[in-house]
Amino acid sequence: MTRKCELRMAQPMFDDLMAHLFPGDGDEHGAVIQAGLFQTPDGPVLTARTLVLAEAGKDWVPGNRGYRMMLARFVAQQARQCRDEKLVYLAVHNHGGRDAVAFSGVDLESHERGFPALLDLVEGLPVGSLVFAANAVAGDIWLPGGARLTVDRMVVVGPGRRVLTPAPDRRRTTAGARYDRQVRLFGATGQTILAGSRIAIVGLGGVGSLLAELLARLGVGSFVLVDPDRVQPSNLPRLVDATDRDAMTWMVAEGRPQWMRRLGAALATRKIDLAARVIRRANGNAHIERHFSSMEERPVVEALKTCDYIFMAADSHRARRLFNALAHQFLIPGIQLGTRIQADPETGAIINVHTAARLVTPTGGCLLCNQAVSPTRLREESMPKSMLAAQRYIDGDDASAPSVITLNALSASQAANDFLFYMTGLTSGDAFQGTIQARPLDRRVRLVEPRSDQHCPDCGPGSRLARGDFVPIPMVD
Amino acid sequence: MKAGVEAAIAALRDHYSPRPVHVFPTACGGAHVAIEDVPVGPPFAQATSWVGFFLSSACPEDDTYPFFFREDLSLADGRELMAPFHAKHSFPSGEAPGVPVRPAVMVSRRQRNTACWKQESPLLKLLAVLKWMSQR
Ligand SMILES: [Zn+2]
Repeated sequence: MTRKCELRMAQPMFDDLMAHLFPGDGDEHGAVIQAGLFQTPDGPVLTARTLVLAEAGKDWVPGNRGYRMMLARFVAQQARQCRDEKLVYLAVHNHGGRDAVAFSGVDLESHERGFPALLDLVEGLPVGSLVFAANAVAGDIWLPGGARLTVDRMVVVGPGRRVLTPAPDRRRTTAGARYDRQVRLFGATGQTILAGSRIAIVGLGGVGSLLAELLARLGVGSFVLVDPDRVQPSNLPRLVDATDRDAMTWMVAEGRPQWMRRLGAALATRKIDLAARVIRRANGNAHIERHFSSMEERPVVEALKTCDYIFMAADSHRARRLFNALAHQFLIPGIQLGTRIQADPETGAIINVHTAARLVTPTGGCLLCNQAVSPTRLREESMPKSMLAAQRYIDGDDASAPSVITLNALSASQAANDFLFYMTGLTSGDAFQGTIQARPLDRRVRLVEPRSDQHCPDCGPGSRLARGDFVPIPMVD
Repeated sequence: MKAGVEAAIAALRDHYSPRPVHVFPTACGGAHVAIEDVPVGPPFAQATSWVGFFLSSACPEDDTYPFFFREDLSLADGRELMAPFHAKHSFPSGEAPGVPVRPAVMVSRRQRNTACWKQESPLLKLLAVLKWMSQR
């Protein structure tokens, strides 16, 4: 049996590839993609990292058996680079047609002739071939040891998500009366996409809780929920559907004996369970995977790797650091959410309130390049409490920072909309891809252009970008 | 210990060999590290000191600070040590069961807020701090 795999590519590379394969001359063209690879329970995923265009007449010449072929020297050079960089070699060419594509007999013969030697050359990595039509892709991937994979879909990660398959999906899509009003906006196809989508919410505090409600009501089909905390009375004004019983308010109240307060805190509802309850109410069919831990655990990382989108609603810089690595390494887009309330240190007067929704995609919004992760904050979050106290670095406990549900709602709704229109492919190609800051005190919105740095370990040329399982993940062994 | 911590310690041992490098792993994957007989440079009355510091479970992603030195560390010309030198500390700081406690001078230099993300290994950070100290 042939197993299936997914190919993932960022939009700018896809645009370059399409322009090269389909310049309007109706001819065949060639290229090589060097890709990362990672494993998920649903099958392997290839992440396109580098695109090398084969130059017609030099690397791409009339074939001996087929119509055109890539010159052996060019193939060997690219394959050696793949071996050295631990990337998967993928030969690319195109056929005519639009919505369906398949390898020709000549194509498949050339795999039989060429791939065994290529597999030897790349020393333990897979090699493969992709064939494109204008709106379709098929792939034949050979693994060391004789197994083969077919590419059953390619996801283009851009401002909007686009999926290419070997042939059109003829399944009928119906949404029913329940979703009638929203289907009028994004169609039964959009509703089916949402039902088939899998998202992660990291942090189920004020922002994450609202996201759970919004995304479940939209009809998102599968959730990964990550949070190590239980509900406390001071959370109740911000958590959807939370009650005094969830917080064990009567047991943890001030003045109760220590043992009772401790017991109450231990019996309080886990935030992931509260969110699961909220999701179930909105969508009884939703699949929910819960992780009662911080993000830096191997099972959490493995779960996040299976997601179409990650909502980063935890406050810690450690979580941000890890999220940024995953978004780039596995080409999983996401959004990081935060609220900043600044008070004058002298008078205590509020001088600035803003909420931020930062898009983090393989091609922009890197949290490292945009100073959203600080090595100093990473340090402080990684020191034991007693050490912080001894070194007198205690400057404000995050748990006691101001927090208001209406502010959380600003960034949560921005993020949920960003996801909705990304996932259904409706976001315009020229949509703003930076950070949106809402400033409710002066009723203004600020757009912050993202920056990127060539030397960045997550998004630069020498970085972990699209390398999949071949490079380690920060802070997770 | 986390892989990042092990790698940092390997680099420190490699650089400071044959000086003793003591390592005390912590429960959360970090380690307290103490290196003996490290030259501190001409501004100081002492030729060498031990250097102690904590490698967190975020190593090498986080900034490594502060560093701890012998408690009698002083300038050769008699000037007072000013901030970021802090006397009357101890290494390791906070609760560290099983690690011998040494009275210490603490030197706390945080990485400057650079425009871009800069990852500095604990060894490079220590060398930068020693260089800065040698210019007092
Ligand atoms: Zn970056």
